[in-house]
Amino acid sequence: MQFGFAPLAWGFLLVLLPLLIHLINLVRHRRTPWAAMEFLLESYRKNRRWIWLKQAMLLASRMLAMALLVAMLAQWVTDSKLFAWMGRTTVHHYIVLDDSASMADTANGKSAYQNALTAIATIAASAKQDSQNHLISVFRSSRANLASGRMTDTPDSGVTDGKQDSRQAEPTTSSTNDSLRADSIADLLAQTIPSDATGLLSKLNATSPTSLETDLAIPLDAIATLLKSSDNERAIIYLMSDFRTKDWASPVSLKQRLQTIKNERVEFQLVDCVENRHENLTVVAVEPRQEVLAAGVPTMINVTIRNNGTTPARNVSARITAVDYGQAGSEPKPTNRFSGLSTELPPMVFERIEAGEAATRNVQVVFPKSGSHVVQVELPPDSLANDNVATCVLDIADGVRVLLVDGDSGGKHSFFFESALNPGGNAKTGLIIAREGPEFLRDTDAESLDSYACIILQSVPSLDPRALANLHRFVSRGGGLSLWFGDQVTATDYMRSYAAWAKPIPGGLNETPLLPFLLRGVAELTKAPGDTTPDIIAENHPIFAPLLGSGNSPFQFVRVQRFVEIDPSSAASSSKLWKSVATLRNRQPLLVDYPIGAGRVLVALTSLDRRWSNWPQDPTFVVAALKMVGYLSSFKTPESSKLTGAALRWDFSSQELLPETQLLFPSPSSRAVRPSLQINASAVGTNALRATLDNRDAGSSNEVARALTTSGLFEWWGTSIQGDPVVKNVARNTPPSEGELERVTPADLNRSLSGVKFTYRTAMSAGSSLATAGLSNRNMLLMALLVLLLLAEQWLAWSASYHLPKR
Amino acid sequence: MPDSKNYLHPEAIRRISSMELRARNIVEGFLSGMHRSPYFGQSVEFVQHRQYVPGDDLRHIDWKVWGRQDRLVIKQFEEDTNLRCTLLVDASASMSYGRGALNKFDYAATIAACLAYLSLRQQDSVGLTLFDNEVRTKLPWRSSRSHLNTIYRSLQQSKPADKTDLAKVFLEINDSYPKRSLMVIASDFLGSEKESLQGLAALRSAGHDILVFHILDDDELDFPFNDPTRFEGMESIDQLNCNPRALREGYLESLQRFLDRVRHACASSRIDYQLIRTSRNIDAALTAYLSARMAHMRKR
Repeated sequence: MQFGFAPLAWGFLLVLLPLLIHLINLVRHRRTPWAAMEFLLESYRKNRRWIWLKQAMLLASRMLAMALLVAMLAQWVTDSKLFAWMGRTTVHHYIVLDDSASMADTANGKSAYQNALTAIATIAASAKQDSQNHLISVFRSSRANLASGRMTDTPDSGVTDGKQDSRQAEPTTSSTNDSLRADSIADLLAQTIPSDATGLLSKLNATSPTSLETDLAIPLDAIATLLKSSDNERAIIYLMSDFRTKDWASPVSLKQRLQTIKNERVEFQLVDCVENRHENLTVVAVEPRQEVLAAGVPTMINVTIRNNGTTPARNVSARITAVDYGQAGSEPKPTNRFSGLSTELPPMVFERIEAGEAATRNVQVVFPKSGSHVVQVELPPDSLANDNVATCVLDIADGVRVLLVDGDSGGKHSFFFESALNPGGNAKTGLIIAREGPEFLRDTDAESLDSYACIILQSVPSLDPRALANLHRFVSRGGGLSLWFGDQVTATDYMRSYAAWAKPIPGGLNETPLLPFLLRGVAELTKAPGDTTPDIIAENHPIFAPLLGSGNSPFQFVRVQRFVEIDPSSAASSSKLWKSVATLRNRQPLLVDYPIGAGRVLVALTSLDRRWSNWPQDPTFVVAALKMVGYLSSFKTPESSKLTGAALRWDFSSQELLPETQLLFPSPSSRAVRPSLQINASAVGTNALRATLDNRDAGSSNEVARALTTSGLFEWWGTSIQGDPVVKNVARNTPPSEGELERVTPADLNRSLSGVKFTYRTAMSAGSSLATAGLSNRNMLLMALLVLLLLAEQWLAWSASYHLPKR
Repeated sequence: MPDSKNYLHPEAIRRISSMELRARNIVEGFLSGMHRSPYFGQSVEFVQHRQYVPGDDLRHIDWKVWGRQDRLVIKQFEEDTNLRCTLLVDASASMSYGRGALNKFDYAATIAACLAYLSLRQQDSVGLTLFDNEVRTKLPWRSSRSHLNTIYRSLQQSKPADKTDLAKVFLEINDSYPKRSLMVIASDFLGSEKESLQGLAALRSAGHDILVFHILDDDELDFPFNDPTRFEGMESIDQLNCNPRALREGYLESLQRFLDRVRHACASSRIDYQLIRTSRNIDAALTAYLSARMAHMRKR
């Protein structure tokens, strides 16, 4: 038995008051000599039993009335089923708990997520004080989002032979919102709230905010399904969140869900778990520039920090850690933060970042040996810790292979590229240059071409269809292709010679042709006397990034005499497919960039022949050539990082590694041993294995769910056929948008959710209305019982002739 | 002119401690209110004239005096004793109950005194018997004025005590008053009911005319008690702790049955019966007495 005001429970001693008064009356009776005792005794003998019974009932009713009065004042809480049955209706509390990264926003040592857990406990406690039958269901948004397949993405790398992963081939029933099964995503499902809800909520209390960006609309689908199957209950749907502007300024899908669900039995409560907006800095990006990643070659890492606060941030010092996994004898070290050799670089200081602005700096790292290396950036602690760390993985090879295909059998066109890309001496570009003739493209197979990161074609007028198909496949799978022209084709034959390039490749991986436009022919670039306009006008593009900082054009001394003109009609029709990154003085495109599948194509509408241009003799060409190769080869490089929640995959050859792998993933606490998962790779083709951890595994265990919702470095360890440990690192970062802590006001919520009736509460006040309502209900019930009892008491008193007769 | 009825009210009576004054006040007040002198004119021996006052019977005007002296006077005669009246007053312990102006015994004694005064004024002979479970005081019939003082003294000196045993007392009285008389009994009749009624019937069968004043207190008739009370028997050792309101209905029913039985027994024996509340004016008793006397005289 529990009481809302426990001290008032002492009032139950008042139950003895009627008994005491009765006993006192027995003792304190007045004495009266009486003559007519005969008649009095006769009356007494006749009515003795009935009087005694009535008096006992009267006494009991008065004692019970007193007990009810005290119970009402002390707010009695009872588990009595009978008592509950008298006034019960089933109230189902559906709680959608936002456990996205921003819910880790901490103030005064307590995070928004902890506030939400406290609010849930309060709701459970308040519900228990109520006489109704209360059920509780709790849905964490992360589980629902993972189960819905919202986090699914493409594999990190595609080393397979093109056969689909059997798991991917399965119909993803869980990826459709309609089929979301509540029992698979709910932490608590329709649980009766016991008198002590500590045990019930213990599992929930052990959870913590994830590093995901989640959509609260998704768990509402599961709730909507549950509501359809429960007609006789009143539902209160709580959305416990931090109400950030990015999520709630225009919650279209959420509003649609709420409007679908709303009816007279459903009440919405928006529980705000954050009191104020806090200052916050976010590592928006840590990524290598689109350059050649090779052992011993300096790599520039761009670090972008965003100030999501309301005041400028000054002297922000970012801690940079480079972790080298190329050392011999590397092995899994769960007790260390990284298994590799970590080196702390000089901190990166941002002197001032304006509120709402982002600033980017770069840092240079060099890894002398190939391997899956790591760079991590960490900001000083602030209110939101999740977004203070970002990691990138640099899969660095011994060298990047570049294939030069020259239409000239003597290779005269390749000279300039060979000189620029491999200058010799101490200069190390990390590029491994190979030169072949056009027939190589025809005679080789696609797998051989895949070993190259970039192919540069120079003066190759016409190609065999097989060669075209190989090229198309190479680019579609992430390769980089650069196309340069030359004198092998006469000026009038261009349209005919390159017509096949402008057609879709039969059997290709996509419909995009190798050339998205037709070529008209060679044209002369004329120059008027006194015209000082440079022949080349560069746009903002990675390959020109080092050249475009100064005020004057870097191409002042570059002359272009001839260029290949694009057919104007086809240019107009295909303009959306390509982008000109450099133009000539006459505004004709000179360098055109466009994607094909996962790869990239750069078409230079000129030649390096001196009769066409003197650019090869200009220093800017070396820079542009190296940047171009770096840019084109970057599309084949695995992404250095992804957002948390993306599937973890590792493709490897069964001839190189054993299928058993171990995944070490970040620990919630830096002191603890990093947890690990044993994952066996499955065959996805001939000699191809794939180890996977994605949303379909999320429900298998808490560890897997934690791995999929955590940010940081994931070390995936395998064993080579020779028995040596091999590591593949994967970085998962908190979505930078989670660091945007600007909040919507209740007025904004009313606007954005117009048409949906809801109650806005703070976490502190969650459950208060329920307690009041429950108290009111119980008190009404107790009051009714009390009134009935008092009526019965009056009847008994009247019946026992305790009322004065009317005179 | 003050209302004569005021002198008959128990509150007024209580303030007069002397039984003699009390009886005279009551009777004179009662008679003056009747505007008629019912007890003169029965004898033949002239006693005196007195001034006529409005209300006197015109038959008693001495017309000769009026013819000679032109004034209205009334002729008054000395009457012979023509009635034997026996006053039986219950002086048992139960008669001492009363929360009003007079307890039952006081009320009964006052009635007895009044009747004695009234009777002796009419030249009747009056006897008095006080009893409880036996005859406690017995005064023989006398018609002298001095006898009245003896009666007053006996009534004033007597205190209620002991139990009631009407059967025994009536038997004893029946033996001690062999001549037929008008017996006026003032009692609450609380005791052995059956024997009491049998005693009454025996008295009646001996030729006595009987007038019963059944005197009960308001409390006994209405039972107005509310608070928890311990009732202690006045003539017994019985005690009862109870809530009186719970027993009231049953009590009143029992009492009513008792009164009905007494009334029925009196009626069947042709005994005049008057239930008297101690809160009522005393004239009811006097009226009843005069009616009974007239009836008794007619029978003679």
